[in-house]
Amino acid sequence: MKEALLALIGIPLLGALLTLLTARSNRDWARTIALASTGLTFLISVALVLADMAGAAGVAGQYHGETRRLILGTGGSPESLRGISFHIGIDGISLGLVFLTGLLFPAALLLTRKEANINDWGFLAWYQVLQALTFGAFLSLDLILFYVFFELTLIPLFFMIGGWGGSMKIEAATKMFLYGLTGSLFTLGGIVGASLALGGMEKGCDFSIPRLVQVAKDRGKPMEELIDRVEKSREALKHTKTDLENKTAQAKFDEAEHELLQKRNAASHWLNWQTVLFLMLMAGFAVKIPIIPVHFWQPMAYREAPIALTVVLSAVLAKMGLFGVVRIVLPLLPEASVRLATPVLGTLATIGILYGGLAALGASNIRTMLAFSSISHLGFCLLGMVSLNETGLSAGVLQMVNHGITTGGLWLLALILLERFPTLEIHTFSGMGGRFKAMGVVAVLLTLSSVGLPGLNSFVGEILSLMGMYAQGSDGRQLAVLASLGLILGAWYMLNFLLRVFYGDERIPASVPVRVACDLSRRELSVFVPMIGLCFLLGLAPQVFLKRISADTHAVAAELSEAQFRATGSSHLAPLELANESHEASAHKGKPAAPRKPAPQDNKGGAH
Amino acid sequence: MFEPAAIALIPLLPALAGALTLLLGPKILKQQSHWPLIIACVGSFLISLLGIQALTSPTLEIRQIVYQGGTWFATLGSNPVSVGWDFRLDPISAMMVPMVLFLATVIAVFSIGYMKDDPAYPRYFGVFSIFVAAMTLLVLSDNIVLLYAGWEGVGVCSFLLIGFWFQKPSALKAARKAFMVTRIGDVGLLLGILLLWSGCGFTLQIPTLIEKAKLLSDEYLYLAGFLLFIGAMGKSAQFPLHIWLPDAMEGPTPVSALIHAATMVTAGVYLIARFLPLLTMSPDLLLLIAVIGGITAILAALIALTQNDLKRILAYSTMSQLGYMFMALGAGRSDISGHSLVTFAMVAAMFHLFTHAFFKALLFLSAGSVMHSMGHVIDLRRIGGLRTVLPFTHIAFLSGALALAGVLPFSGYWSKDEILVAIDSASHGPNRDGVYKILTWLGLITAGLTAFYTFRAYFLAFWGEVKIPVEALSHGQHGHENDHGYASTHHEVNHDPYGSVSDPTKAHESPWIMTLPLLVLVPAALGIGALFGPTHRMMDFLGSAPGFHADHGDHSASKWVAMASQVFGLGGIAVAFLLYVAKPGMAVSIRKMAGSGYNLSLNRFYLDEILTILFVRPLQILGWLIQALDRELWDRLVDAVARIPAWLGDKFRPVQNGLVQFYALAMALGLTIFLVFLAFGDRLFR
Repeated sequence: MKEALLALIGIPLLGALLTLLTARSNRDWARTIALASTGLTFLISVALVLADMAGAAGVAGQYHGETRRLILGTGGSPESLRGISFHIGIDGISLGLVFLTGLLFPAALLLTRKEANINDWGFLAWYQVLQALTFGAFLSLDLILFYVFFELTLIPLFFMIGGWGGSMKIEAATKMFLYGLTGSLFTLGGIVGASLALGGMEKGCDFSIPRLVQVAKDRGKPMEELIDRVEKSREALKHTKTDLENKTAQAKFDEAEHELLQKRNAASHWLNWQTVLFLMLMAGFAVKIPIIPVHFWQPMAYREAPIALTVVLSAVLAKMGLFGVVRIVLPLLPEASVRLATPVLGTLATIGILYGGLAALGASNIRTMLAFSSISHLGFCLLGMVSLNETGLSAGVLQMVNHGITTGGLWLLALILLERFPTLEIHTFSGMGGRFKAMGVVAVLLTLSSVGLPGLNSFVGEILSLMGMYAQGSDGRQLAVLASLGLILGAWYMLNFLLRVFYGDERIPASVPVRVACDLSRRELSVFVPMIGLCFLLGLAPQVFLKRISADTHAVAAELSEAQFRATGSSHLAPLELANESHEASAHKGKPAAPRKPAPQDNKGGAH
Repeated sequence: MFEPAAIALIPLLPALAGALTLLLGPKILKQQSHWPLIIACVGSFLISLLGIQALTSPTLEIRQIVYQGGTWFATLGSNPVSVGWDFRLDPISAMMVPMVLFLATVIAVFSIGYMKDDPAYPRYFGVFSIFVAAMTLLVLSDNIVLLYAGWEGVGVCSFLLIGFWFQKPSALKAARKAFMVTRIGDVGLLLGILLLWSGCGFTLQIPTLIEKAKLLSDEYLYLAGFLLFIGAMGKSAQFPLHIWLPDAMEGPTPVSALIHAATMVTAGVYLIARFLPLLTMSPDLLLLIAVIGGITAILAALIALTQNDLKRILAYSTMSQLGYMFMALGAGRSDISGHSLVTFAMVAAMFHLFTHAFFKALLFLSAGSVMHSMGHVIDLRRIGGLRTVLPFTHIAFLSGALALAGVLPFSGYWSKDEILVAIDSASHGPNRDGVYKILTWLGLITAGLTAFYTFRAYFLAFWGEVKIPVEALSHGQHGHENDHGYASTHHEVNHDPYGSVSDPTKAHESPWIMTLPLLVLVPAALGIGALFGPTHRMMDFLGSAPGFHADHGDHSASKWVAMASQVFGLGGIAVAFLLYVAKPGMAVSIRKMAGSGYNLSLNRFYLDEILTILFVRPLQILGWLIQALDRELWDRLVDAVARIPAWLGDKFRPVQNGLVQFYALAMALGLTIFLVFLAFGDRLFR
């Protein structure tokens, strides 16, 4: 297992090196190397998934194939090596993403024709480097290591977009780079801050994610015990019989409560500090996903990048930001997450769902439409994650994989259309399905998957995301109701795309020679058939994967639920009291701003 | 002994048949692609009959058979979700399933003839099979998310079949409209599911949900029921989400018969009937359901009066009859003596659903037979006198029309009567009697209108002088049958749109593979009402469903409506006879008299246009605006901010001019200011 993880990062790097050394004058050879190295990573990632399903199903909180080598020690005893280390491992949260990386990099390359301009040694070398870095980011168990991989992806992207992109390639590359860099610098600050705040300086800096998560968890223990003590002494107070007993019990209760108050005051400082760190960490991830006000680089980059790169940008790289949320932000900063995730990130996710959906509806180009639809769909992933319960977290992780397959498939479809026709303007197409039967079938199935048809993959992720959010108190309910409108928009723009391009009277852009305009070749089928198979597999038997994901999101959800307990003294994030429902429920009927009764989960004020 | 696991086979067999047909059809099965569907339907039908037998066995204490087939998906934690492949056969589903499968089989046989030579023959039967699977899944599922899966599944199959001839622009528009409008309803249903799930301790099993939800507060209950009803409105084409159904007639006619008349569109009625023991606790909601049903019933009947397309008349009639069913469901409250009408209302609605499925399927198939013989022309202005040309089809259509018009003793009479009795009984309730009284009269008027427009269509198509469109003849001469609706629209452009010939020798009756299903359906459509209605079989069977109680209460106070509906029905037929057979000229003069009213009805009260202007256009414009602003304004603004550093640098660049004298001067000045500040700073800034 360990070797396999190392190979995932090593093979594409070796491939890139080989391309650089031997293939500078031979395009075919460069393509062969790139296909071989990315193809090999595909096989390894499939083997990882199979091994995981065969052997390790149901093992919670495990980082399989964990391997750790100290890079930069900062003192401490040898048994608890601290510092920056090359620490990688895989668990239920990253498994699906590693698989996506292994799947889509070779797929996009395989579907690109040999004559395409990206089959150039320079592009291919960068492409393999990008794959290695993506694997690295998903496998990292060290904060700095993660950051290095996360940040380094900007460099190959910059050169690939700037060198092989469309007419506005320089602008697009610069914009992408500047947005990414600005965000990530804040994230770097957040990472260092989190490490210092959690690990402390005494024994040297610690960047190990599993250990910091443990620290974050342990920190809350005294507070939880104290809350328990208060509760117990209150119980004792109730059951006293004599005056004397009553007095002593009262004293005990007062003392405990006083202590709790002091503790809460002390904790409020930590909470404010966490809030700052939360915002800093999120800055870089928000740009990467992207979340609405910092998304401007995305439509342009998706439009101008060589389309094979757009495939992996949208289907794989966008998940790095979401991965950061669930791997780093939520478990390291549980208090701040409980306080901010649902109201702030949940709101932004919902805005993204609706904004992206409407913009996709208005788009006239397949690329722009898919770019905005990605914003909308990734909003559902984020919505699930920031509902902070196990259902929502698992849904968010599962939906990342679903989106990678479905939207990845749609981008690949756009890719093969662009291989055949000069433009992706929707109005230039009509009735493709009549002439290209196989392509039409693929388009229909991917569209149905994208609009969330039960039995296909996206349905499970979307409905669980909504359910996770809906159970998250009255805020969550309103967000879920608004987000569900995104399902209508999603169906609308996808059907527009499907019906305009593939239905209707046949019309093919005039300048295309018939030789190029052909149905799916065997090579193309060999990519699309397995992807559609995956759509069905994840739609009909999602439990196999969901169980695996839940095993690891369970730990995160449990930690967040403890943080909630510390903040309010109530262990459930959203206890539902039927009697209170009616009042809040009336807010559904189109007046979301109506004053609400303060629900129990709103009492976070106790912490500060 | 009936093995519960067999219930799961009912949807599974058609699903496998569908997968098989879609995968192997184009290459191997080709024109034999109907076999998997027919075999699966017959197999599932037999299983469902065995299920009914087991269900009625006296040893069964609760009338249900439950089978849990493992998890589909589930999560744990504070808000667990558990969706399993759970099926439940109870009297309500046991009535629906054999009906669906029987009609599916008959219509599949009809389709063999109707779709013959279509190049996409395997696709037709593949999607047809998936539809049957999804419909039976919807009806049988015990888990509400699984029900939702079936619900969406039938919607998608409907979309795919409406857009079956996908090169035809009108077909693809209709398909999108159907999908989008029902999607709005689906989101309502989804929210209703979320609300019930979170309010009932995170269960998703339907019976548990109904029991637990009874404890919810009134507003909460109303909201949950309202959301479920929105789902039902979308699927069952109730005002104002009805606009998709008439357009859905763009699909092949057998599809209209099965999906858009007999089965899928009744899913909403089924859903509300299933949840009626819960919804009856909210009288306001019942009133809403009844009123929406009433509006839809009369509105659709008024529109159907003037339409010239035979299939559209039938589509509006379907809408109208569905409105009846919702009116019945809305009557499920207590009457004056505190006697709950919930079972009576449910049985009335489901009974009408049952009889309607048979006679409406028959009517649609007859229309299909007419289309097939007339070269896909179905405009009532271009056909006529087909009585002699298409004798079998004539008998079939007449039977369906008699049943639909509710003529004693045919099917429609018995079930429509139950509905009117239910509504009238509800008007003797504790409050809001007036509304139910109005609804009773609305129902009676609609009955009259129904009889009129049905027989108007019948007389126009089958009586009078023989009119046969030219397409029918080219169709017969060349045996050129694979172009169907799509190509025939092009024919129309070339000919005079009203062109018709009156040489009946060339036109011919449909082949036996199509007339046979019609003749099978004739006795079913005519007699099934009398078989189950007056004998109380339907009441005994459905009333034993868990959550209901067989209701043999005395409704004699409402018996007058049965007489009244006969008067209205026969009156409608008589007027139709007068206008279209006895004195054909009168219809034209009446049309002129009606003037704007006629236009309003002909143009469907302009509801499509109104809804488009109100909702579709604004959203489209908003979408365009958002993406344009995103690119052209907000992004530019951010770019402008990004230019500030460069601009600042530009402004300060002249300072770095490379002249040593300037630098010396600047240094001296700076030093002076600094020193002044040191010396007098405290006095300056006191």
